[in-house]
Amino acid sequence: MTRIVLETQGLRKAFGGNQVIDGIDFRLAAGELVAIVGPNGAGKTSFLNLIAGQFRPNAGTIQLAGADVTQLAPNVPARRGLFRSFQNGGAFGRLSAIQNVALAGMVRGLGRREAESEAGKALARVGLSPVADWPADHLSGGQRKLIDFARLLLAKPEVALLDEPTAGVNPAIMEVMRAIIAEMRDKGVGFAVISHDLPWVFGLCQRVVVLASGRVLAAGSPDEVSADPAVREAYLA
Amino acid sequence: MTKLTHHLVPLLFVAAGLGLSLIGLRPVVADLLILSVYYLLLAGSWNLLAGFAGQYSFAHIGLATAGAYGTAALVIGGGLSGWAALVIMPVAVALLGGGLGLVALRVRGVQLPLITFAFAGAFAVFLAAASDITNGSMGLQLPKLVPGFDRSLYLVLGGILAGLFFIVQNWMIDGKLGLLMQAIRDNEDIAHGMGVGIFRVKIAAFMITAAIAGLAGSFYANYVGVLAPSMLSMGEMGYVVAMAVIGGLGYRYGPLIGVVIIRSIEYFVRGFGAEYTLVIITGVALLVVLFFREGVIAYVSRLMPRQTARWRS
Amino acid sequence: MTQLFVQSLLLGLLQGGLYALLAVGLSLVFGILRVVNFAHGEFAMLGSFAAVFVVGMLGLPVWTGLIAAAVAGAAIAYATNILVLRPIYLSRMRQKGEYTIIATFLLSQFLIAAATLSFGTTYRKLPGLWDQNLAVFDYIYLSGNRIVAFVAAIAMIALLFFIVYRTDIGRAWRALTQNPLGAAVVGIDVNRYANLAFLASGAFAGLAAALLAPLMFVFPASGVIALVKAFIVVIIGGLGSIRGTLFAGLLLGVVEVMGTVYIDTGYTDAYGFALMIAVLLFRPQGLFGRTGRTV
Repeated sequence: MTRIVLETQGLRKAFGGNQVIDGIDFRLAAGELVAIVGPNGAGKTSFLNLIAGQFRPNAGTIQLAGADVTQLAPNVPARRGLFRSFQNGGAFGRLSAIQNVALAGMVRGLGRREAESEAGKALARVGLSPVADWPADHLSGGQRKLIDFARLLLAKPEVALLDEPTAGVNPAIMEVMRAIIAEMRDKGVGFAVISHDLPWVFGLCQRVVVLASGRVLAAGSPDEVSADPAVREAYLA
Repeated sequence: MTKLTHHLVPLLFVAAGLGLSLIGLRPVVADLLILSVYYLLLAGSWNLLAGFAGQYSFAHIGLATAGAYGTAALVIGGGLSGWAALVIMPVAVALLGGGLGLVALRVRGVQLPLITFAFAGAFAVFLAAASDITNGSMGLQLPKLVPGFDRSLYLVLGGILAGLFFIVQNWMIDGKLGLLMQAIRDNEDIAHGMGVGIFRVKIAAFMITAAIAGLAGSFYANYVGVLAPSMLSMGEMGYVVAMAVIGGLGYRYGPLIGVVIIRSIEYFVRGFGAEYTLVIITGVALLVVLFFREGVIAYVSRLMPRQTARWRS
Repeated sequence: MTQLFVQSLLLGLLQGGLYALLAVGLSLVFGILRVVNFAHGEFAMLGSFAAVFVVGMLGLPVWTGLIAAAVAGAAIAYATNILVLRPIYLSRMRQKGEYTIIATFLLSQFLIAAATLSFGTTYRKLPGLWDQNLAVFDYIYLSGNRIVAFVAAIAMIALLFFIVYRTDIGRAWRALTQNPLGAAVVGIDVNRYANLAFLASGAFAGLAAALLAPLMFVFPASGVIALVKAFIVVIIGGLGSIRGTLFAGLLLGVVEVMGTVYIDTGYTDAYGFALMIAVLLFRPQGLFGRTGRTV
C-alpha cells in the first residue's frame, strides 16, 4: 500500500444553518490523482477550502503527510507541502508574472534571486516567458491559470489541490497542464482535482469522488462512477 | 528604470546635500529643502506601508512626533547628544510601532485605519494635556546639533538621510520582504494560502516604516529646535498622504514626486497666507484622487506607453 | 461617595448618548457600503456651523438651529456620496475600500481648510435650549442642556431603530448589509439606499454636533475630535452594528467621566483610547461585531 499523504475524517462545515460539508471521509495516496466532481453547489470548493485551512471545520480531522493540520491557519499546511490553486487563478494583480511565480519558491525558503531564476524556468515550461515581466493584471484568464501551474512546479508539494484548472482555457493550454500534472503525479505528488471537464479529468485520474450536498455520493474508477444511476440523477436534478 | 539607477539615486541625494551646502543657498530655500527631507522620509515610508504593503495607517505623524519628543527627552532629560537620539529613536519608535501593530493588525481590513487614527487623536490630546512634560503650546526648546545656526550641516545630513531612505527602500522592494508585502496588498487570502505568514510580514513592514518615521521625527526635533504639540495634527497627516497619493501610491518614486510638487506649490503660494496654502494643497490632492486616481506617475506613463514598464517598480 | 458616583454615572450616560448619535451614521454607512467615511466628523462640524449661523447671525430661535444643522449635515453627506464616493465604487479599480478611505480623508482635510478660511479659527458657542442647572435628589446637579441633548439623541436613535427594523427602507438596508450582491440581484437599488443612508448619517452627525455645541465649542477642527470619538465608539461596538454603537457610546461616556473624576482630569480623551485597546485585546471584532466568511 502506498503512503497516504492526505486524509480527512468526518469533516463538517456549516455557515449559519447551511450544512455545506456534511461529513466527508477522504484519502489520497502519494502519486494518486483523484477527480472531485459534482453538481454546482455540491461543496467541492468548500471542501478544498477546509483542507487548505481557509475555512475552519466544525468537526472532523485533517491529516497532511501524517501530521494533523485541523484548525490551523492556511499558511501552515502550505508550508508543510500543500499546494492549492484557485478557481479564478491566484495571481497578484500588480506583480509581474515572474514575481508571482517566485513567491511560491520564497515561501519554501529560497532567496529572492534564486526563486526568480527558478520561476523563469517554470514560466518557460508553461510557455509564459514572453510575458514574464508583465503585471498579472494585463494577462488573460488562461495565462493567469498557467501562473498557478508554474507555481506548482516551484512549490514541489506533497499534495496539490486544483480548483477548476481547465475552466475557460484553450486546448493547447489544457495539454500543457495535463503534461505537468502527469509528470508530477508520476514523481509521487498526490492530486485532488476539481473539474467540470469530465473527459479531460477522467483521462488523468485513477479514482473519482462525486460530491453532492456536501457528502460523498459515489466513489470509484471513472467507469464505475459514470455507470452509477445515483450520480446521473444528481447531475440531472 | 534599471536596478543600477535605483542604486545611484541614494548617491545622488548625498552628493546633492554636499553640493548645496557648499554653494550657500538662501535661508528660505535651505529651510524648504531641509524640511522637505522630513516630509520625504514620512511620505516615502508611508508609501512603503500603504502603497506596497496595503496597510493604511494614520499613525505615521504620531510616530514621528513620538520620535521628536523622544529626542527631546533624551537630550533635555537624559543629557545625551542629538546625534545619539538620531540613532536611538528609530529603534524606540519601531518598538512603539510594533506594539501598536500587535493590537491594530489582529483584525484585517478597515480596523487598522480606524485604530491608528484613534491612536493619533488620543496621542495629540495627551500631548496637549500633559503640559507639565511638553510645556504645552509654549513648546520645548532643544539645542542644535552643533552650536550656532548653520544650515549647511543640515543640508548634508538631510542628503544623507534621504539617501539612507532610498537604500532601505531598495533593500525592501527588491528583497524578499517587499515581494511578500505586495502579495499581501494584492490578495491577502491567496498569499496566506501560499504559505506567507501574514501577521509577521505586516508587523515587519509596520516596524521598519515606524523606524523611518521615528528617524524623521528626530531629525525634525534636532533641526527645528522647538517642539509644540501642534506637530501632531491630522492636517500634517493629510500633507503626508497627499504627497504619497499625488505622486502615486505603490510607485518607488511616487512620494519623491509628490513632495516636489506639494513643496513647490507651497513655496509659490506662500504669499497668500497659511489658510490659502492649506486649501490649495488639500484641494489639489483631492482633485488628483478623484481624477487621476493612480497619481502623476501612472498618468504620465500612460501618455508615453513605451515607458510604462520602466517606471513600474 | 455614592453621590459623586451617581452624578458621574448620570453625566457619563448623558455624554454617551451624544457619542452614540455621532457615531451611528458612520456605522450605518459602513454596514451598507463597506465604506469608512473619514469626512464624517466634518459633516458634524459644518452642521454645527450652520446652527451657529442660523441662531447667532440670523437671530432665529435655537430649535431652528438644530434643524439647520441636520439639513446641512445631510446635504453635505449627500454631496459627498455623489461627488466623491460613487465614482470610486462604480469604477473598476482595485482596492476600492482603501481608496475611499484616502478620498474621504483628503476631503475632510479640504473641508477643514475651507472652513478655516471662511469662518476663521474663532471658537464659537451656541446658546442652549435649557440653560439651567437642575437638582436631582437634592444633591445631584445636571445641566438642562445636557438633558435636552440626551433626550433628543435617544429619540433620534430610537427613530433610527424604527426605520431599520420596521420600514421598507430599513429592510433594504439590512439586506444590503448582509449580502450586497444578493440584494442587487433581487432588484434593490443600491444607489438609492446608499444615498438615503448618507442623508441619515449626515443629519445625525450635524444634529449631534449642534446638540453638543452649547456644551463645547464650534470651530473648524472640531470634526477631528468628533471623528476620533466616533471611531472609538464603532470599534468598541463593532463596525456596522447599530445596537453595538448605542451601547459603546454610552459606555464610552461613562468611562470618560469616571476616569476624569476618579483618576485625573486632564486626560479625558485618553481613557476612551485605553478602553478601545482593552476591547481590541479581548474581542478584536468589537463587542457586537461578527467575524464573517473571508474567502
